[in-house]
Amino acid sequence: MNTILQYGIDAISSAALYGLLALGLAMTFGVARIVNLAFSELVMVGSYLILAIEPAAWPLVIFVVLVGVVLLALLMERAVFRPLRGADATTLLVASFGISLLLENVVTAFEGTNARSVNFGAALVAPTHIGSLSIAKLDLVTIAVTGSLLLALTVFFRRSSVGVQLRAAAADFEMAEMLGVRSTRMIVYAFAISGVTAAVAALLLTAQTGTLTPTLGVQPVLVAVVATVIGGLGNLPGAVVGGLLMGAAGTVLSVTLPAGLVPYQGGVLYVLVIVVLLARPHGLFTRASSLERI
Amino acid sequence: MLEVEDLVVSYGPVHAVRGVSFSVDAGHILSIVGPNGAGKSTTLMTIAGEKSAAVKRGKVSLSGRITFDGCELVRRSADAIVRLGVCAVPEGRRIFTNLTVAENLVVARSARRDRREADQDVQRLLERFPALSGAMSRPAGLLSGGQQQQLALARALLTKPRLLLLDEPSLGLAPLVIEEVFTILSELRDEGIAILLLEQNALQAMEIADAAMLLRTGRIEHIDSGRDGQRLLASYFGIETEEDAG
Repeated sequence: MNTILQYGIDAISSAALYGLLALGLAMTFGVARIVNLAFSELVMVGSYLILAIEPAAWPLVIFVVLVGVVLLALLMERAVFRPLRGADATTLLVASFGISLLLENVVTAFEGTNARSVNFGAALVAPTHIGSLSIAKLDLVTIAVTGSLLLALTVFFRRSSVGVQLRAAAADFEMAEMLGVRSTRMIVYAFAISGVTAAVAALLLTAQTGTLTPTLGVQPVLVAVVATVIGGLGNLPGAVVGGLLMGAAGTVLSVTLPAGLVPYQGGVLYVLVIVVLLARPHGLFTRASSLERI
Repeated sequence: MLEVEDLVVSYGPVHAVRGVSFSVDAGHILSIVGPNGAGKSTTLMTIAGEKSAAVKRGKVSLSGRITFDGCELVRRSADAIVRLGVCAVPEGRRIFTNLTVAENLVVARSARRDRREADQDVQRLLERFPALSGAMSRPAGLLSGGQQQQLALARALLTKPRLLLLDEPSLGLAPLVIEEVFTILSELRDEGIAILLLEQNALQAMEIADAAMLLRTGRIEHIDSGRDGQRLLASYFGIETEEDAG
């Protein structure tokens, strides 16, 4: 029973992180129809910012990473995506790939390709005991932080005027504009929220691994891209649920697969994803009609 | 109020609108009728600014002038046009189906700076559209066709427009509901709002319009104001107007 609970907490921790990443990606896709591949570099730059100011106190680290990553996300929007506004999806995708390569190479030029270690959140690695359960504090922190942020964003999207406008823009951008919603402002907000999710993910991932490479954001963000597709492109709650499912499925597979198949866990997961998409090509939570730009 | 001069809109080699000129004054309804593909919706959406982004990126070419109270609308963004006092209810209503009725209204209210007055306007609109007041917390996608049309109209009115652009407001509605919608349009006209009304339901459009225009393959075939013009168009469509019947 304890083992199941421990795996359950692992699954929730991993799922919450992917849910957060998927929401960050879905924001820019939903509002601006940009599949921002450079989102992984926002996570990576956030992690390297931790290294840059080490050994600063953790509140300062959190502040610097949040501000730095959000500013970088806003810079991406202003310098690259705004001039390309209205361009077709392929152009935007290639542009985001270009930013991704640029940032990766800039970091490589300064820090090299070798893995760097960083001592952030080391105190959270030690397990804490709840009854007979032994749980890594970091798992609990990850669940608490991502859960709180997702809850705060849910309240923001439901209760605030800007949040409701963002949801409307994600549903039908042109119609929202025709009701007076300031389109450029909505895209800026979407990139800022995307930056916040990337910064929080950077802090948690760095605390979990303690190791930095210029490609550290690629794998988790790839999972998040798949999560947004499963949830239904442009569907914000769907993306979060897609992320939760991907994280949980990864943990469940690592426990339930026969030992010989564990090394191929990623492959098995993506086979499951393909099966889901064959059954629901527009994702689990999106109707085909809502994808059309009228 | 609205002046359209020699408007030409093309999608690549396809000319959707070919040199259309007309005007709409405050407190008047201009009805544009015509068959599918005549360029009616393109004209309306161009005025609303929905084509501005496509024009900027060269996917749509546009020439001519569109002015509203002297302000040039061509190449102005759709949200800026709303703040000038022009709001469109496009074909199919395009309500946000995953948002509640109240949230749909919140989106429209965002264009307003006078928040207190906007809140009072919400109350007035709910009195005008009582079907919505009991459904504020329902997802808009669950409303009936008539209620959705009321929501689309309420949403547009909440932006405080002086010119309403309506594309097929009767589409898919039951006859009684259509009558209600057209009654509301007459009331709005009487309140001083100018209305550009696109309708395939030519008979009903003729009954409330102050002027009418027949568009075919992007060109104006007839444009006339007053009952004579309406009768001309009615005879063109083989429709008997109330006067004729009398």
